[in-house]
Amino acid sequence: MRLTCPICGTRPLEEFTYRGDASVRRPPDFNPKNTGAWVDYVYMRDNPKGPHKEHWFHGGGCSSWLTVERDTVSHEVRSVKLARSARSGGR
Amino acid sequence: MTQQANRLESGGILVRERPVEFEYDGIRYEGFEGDTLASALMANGIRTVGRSFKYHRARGIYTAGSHEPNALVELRTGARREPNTLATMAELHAGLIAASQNCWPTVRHDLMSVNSALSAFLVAGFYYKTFKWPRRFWTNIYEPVIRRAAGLGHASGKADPDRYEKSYAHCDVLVVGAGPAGIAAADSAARAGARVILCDEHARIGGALLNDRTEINGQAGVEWALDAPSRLSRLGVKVMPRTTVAGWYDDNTFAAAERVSDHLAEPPKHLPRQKLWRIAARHVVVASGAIERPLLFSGNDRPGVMLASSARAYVNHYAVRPGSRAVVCGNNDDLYTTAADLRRAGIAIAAIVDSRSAQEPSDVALAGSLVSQAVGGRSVRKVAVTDLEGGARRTIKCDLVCVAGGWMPNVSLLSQRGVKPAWNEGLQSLVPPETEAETYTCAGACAGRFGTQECLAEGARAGRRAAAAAGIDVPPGEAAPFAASGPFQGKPGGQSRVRGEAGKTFVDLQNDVTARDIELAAREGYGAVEHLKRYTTMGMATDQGRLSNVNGLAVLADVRGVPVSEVGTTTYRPPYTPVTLGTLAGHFQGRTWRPRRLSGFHDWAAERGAEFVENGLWMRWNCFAQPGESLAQAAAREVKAVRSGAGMCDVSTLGKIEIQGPDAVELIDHVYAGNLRKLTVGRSRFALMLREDGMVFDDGTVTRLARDHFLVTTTTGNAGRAMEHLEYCHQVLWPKLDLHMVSVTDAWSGLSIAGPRSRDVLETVVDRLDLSNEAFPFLSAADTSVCAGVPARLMRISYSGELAYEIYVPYQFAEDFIRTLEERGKEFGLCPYGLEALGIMRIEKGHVAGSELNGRTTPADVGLEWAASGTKSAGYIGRALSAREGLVDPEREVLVGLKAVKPTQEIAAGSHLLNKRGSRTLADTQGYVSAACFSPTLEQNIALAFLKRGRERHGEVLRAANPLQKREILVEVTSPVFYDPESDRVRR
Amino acid sequence: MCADKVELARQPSPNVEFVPGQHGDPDAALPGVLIEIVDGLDIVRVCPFAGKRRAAGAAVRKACGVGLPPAGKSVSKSASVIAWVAPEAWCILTPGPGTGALYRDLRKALRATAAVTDQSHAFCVIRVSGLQAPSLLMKECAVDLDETVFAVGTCSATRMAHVNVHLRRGDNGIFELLAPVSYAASFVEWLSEASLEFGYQAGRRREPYPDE
Repeated sequence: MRLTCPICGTRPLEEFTYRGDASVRRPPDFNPKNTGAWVDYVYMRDNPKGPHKEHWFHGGGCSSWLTVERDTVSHEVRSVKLARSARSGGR
Repeated sequence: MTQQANRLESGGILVRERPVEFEYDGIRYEGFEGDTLASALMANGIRTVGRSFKYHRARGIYTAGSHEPNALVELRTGARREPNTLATMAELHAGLIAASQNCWPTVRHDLMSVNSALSAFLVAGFYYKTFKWPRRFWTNIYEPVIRRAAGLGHASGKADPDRYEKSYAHCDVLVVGAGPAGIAAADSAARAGARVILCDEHARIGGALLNDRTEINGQAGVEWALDAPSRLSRLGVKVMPRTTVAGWYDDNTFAAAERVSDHLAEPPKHLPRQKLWRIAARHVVVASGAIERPLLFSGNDRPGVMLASSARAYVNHYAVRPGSRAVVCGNNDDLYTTAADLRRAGIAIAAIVDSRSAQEPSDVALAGSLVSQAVGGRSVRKVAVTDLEGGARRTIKCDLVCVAGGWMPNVSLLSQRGVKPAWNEGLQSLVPPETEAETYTCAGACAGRFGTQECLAEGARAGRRAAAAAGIDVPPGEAAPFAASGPFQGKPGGQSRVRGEAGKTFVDLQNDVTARDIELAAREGYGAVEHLKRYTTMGMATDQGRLSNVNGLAVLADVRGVPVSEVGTTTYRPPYTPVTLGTLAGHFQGRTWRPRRLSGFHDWAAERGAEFVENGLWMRWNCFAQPGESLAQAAAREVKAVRSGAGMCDVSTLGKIEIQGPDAVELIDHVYAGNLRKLTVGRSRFALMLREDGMVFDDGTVTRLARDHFLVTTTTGNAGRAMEHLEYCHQVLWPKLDLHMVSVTDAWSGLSIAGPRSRDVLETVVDRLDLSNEAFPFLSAADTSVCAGVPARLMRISYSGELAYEIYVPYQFAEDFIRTLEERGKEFGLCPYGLEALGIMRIEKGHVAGSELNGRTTPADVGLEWAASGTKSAGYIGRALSAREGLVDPEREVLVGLKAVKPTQEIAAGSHLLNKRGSRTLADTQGYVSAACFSPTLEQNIALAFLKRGRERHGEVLRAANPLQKREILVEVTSPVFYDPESDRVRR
Repeated sequence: MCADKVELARQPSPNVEFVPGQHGDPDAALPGVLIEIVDGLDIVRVCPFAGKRRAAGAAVRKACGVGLPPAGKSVSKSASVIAWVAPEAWCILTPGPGTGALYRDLRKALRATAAVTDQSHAFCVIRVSGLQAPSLLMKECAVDLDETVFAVGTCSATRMAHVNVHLRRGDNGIFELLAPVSYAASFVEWLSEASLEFGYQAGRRREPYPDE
């Protein structure tokens, strides 16, 4: 498998590590009444059959975090963007 | 017997000047350079080359290629011995030694052929139904016997002495297969301006051009093929013979195994034995050719039965007679080409048996007939030929049967990519459904196009298409035309089978699967093609069903009464042919399987006799045992030396990350538990990184070198993960923060200098810095220099319960620095100490490490709640879920210390803690021991452990149970800080 | 502070067993590759803060005579090289004693403009040249090094032989690799073995420092 890093170009899988779902949003603050949102953020994930937005780290290259849109059935990679430019989480 | 009795006087692609001597089954023979082991054996009249897998039937050479099912030999001796090597692919060289397999005592007289007599019981799936009763016989009798009888060859059991390598390669167009279509494709793609790689599994490229009599542009096809490598190289094509494209993976990446020096007696020192190429191609031309289809008749596995195209190959390419009197049988015009080539070699043609009834019969050609049975044990003696309409049967004497059942496009690689071939009624075979796609183009026989002229033309067109698809600006025009002639593999007639003869009809020769097995499987309910494969093991041998697949599907369709197109196919998987494991590992095996990381002090320590231990990729000092000292004694001595004088320990392996920028403090504050904003310039502190779920992820230090300049340290094992985490926090969670981070783990080599004299030791090297307790108290930090100007970083932190510092110097000054320290520190008793002693001291001090920070513990569990203050509103990572009921439950297991009630009794880490009285089940467990040691300072065995409500239970006596080793001792619960509880020594 | 004054000797690429001379293919008249370990460099990493790229470039140009090259590229001026190593990160390499002088100068010049880190001791610097240099490096480099796609001055961060390496193509067919120093021994061991097939010439080089 190869991924095309926007900075480095197409590289083999060995240069990357996978983290997980990129569509989850980190809750904006810590509020004791908000534990449910935090539990969802930390533990709950969908398992889609089809397109999946996920985070990959180009540790063997430019050390950029990437948001990859990959089809979990065909394994086709639709897009690779820098995570910081694709809205994905945090504030 | 005369040497090479079956060799033709002239012809063949051989170097006849120098005969090559080789050994087979202990006997010496001669052959020529250019032979394969199979052609050389055939030249010397050897007919039986092995015994079949299950029934131990004598088998002969069936093909001249990599789909060979029978001629599997053990090649070489000693540590290089390789079982299951194809004799048809092994290149002959002087000194080659080979032996037949799966037979005892010899291949000609094999006692295991008794299996044949039991064959009624050894049908498909027999192992699912037998060897079940009595149950106890399985372990002691059935399994050992089966193991000994099973398999084909035997591995040497010795370490592989050869070197292997790997390489990447890039190209615009990869051409798989260098027959006429492949060569033409490579040529036209290169001329169109593409970077081309051409791979072929054989030693010489040319494919069928080397085996048949053809003519191309007025030149003999063989010459045209032998000239091709230099022609193509001049065009810039990378020609790779002896290279099998073994797998086709996502994104048009390929694995190709090159046999660099297998054709030499021994690989020269500067070459690897084999190389794995990982090729990235923009477009691939699949020109993998086609394989001839065997015929089904009783006894179709007897030695002397072989593919017609292979018989032609032996005659034309290797100048060898496969027999002296031949019957040629099949359903297409290849029969006549074969008969002509055999006649030219002096082989008598006993009959040409053509199943097509429209053919003109002659005195030799029998139309509308098929061979129905071949008879002969170690060699075929005669065949029965049956008229397909009338059923009239006649017997014909022969010692060679050439079968020509049509052609099967070689779709293996495409199938690996999930391209399901489709049944083509006209060709009576499976054909790729699309020959042109975005990522690939099929050309030649594998696309179902036969005939030399057509293959060349299609190949040339494919090359141009491939170049264009790869993004090359192809100049307009057509590829130069060819004028070629050769055997025309015309459309075959139908496939039929004469039934009713006695004996076995084999579909898969290598796994001994017969037509009856397939019928049986279908009857037993395994009629779906995927079930058929697994139940009968058809197609599961090393030839991966390339010869048997189509016939198997045809038999299945027949049994089920459906057209072949409805039966479906199974999937071919990589590798195409077996690849030796060494090739997949390359350089990375044995000692070099992963890189080793060495600190700047490594050579010095090795000189001093340090014993090293692996910590991830790093080599770390474990201890400096002196002659006669055990590990425990050395560690105890080192601990005493530190606690009474001074010691130095290599801490270079800890992760070190610099974070700089106006917002550096923001990130640190978010990522570390507690209030890090308060940290002032010139100060360090212990800090915990938590996971979002509230568990401790890593412990380390944070040092503020300047307002906007931080240096954080992590544990050795988590350095990479921590860096990845910090980058995630910056780039994904808080991308607006203005800061930069970089790992400086390698740039700085660090020593922990610990002990009451550590300050004195440091004063001998540190330039101009006041190290007194007033000027440089506990947790101070400074950018400074040592030894008259070498940059250094100094932090006053301790893990051992002693006055201690960490001093970092640049990597390339490390060696000279430690020699200097060693010299100047002598008067203070400076002694190196390793991980063993460090481990003891940190347990004595109650300092938590990896065994306590195991991913299931919170800061409060390990007594570090002070490091994770909860007063801020924004919250650091981990804060939100730290307050969950389960994490603040008073029943949680928290850190305590343990003392063995009998001081000399060892406490085993991992022991469960149980109440002194009561039952001993898992439900009764009160906690567990995380780390234990013999403390030379307290002169007794101690441990750190997790205990329910541990803080309330100091003084209680418990049992530490180790049921795996059936041991149990009594322990007393104490504070985890055994030594320097007020941190007086640390702060002095 | 000049190199002469410090009391400690700078070890050339410690821990690496690197035997100078010709090795490998006995039939090769000329070695296919030349491998040189380069000692005696000062290496400083510069990462401009937000909105300060231009200011940082100007300051670097003032201090070193040449500015920051675009992403994926390097520039050189006499014995100094400035190479892009990562997004918003450049390394300046110049002969020096490794006692922090370049670091201190740049830190002063780039105060509040960029993060400056001394990397003089973080890398083993290896130069690979010769006709077979691209074939050698591509044994473990997944980046296409063909000169049509990897021109002079191109830089890349990638993984070779399980090690994170920074690689650039300099003038005269010389590839320069920066391998983390703790991995250097293992990396050079792989590199030497991989070069046997081509025949290689091994050596060490130290550029003279400006003050010498």
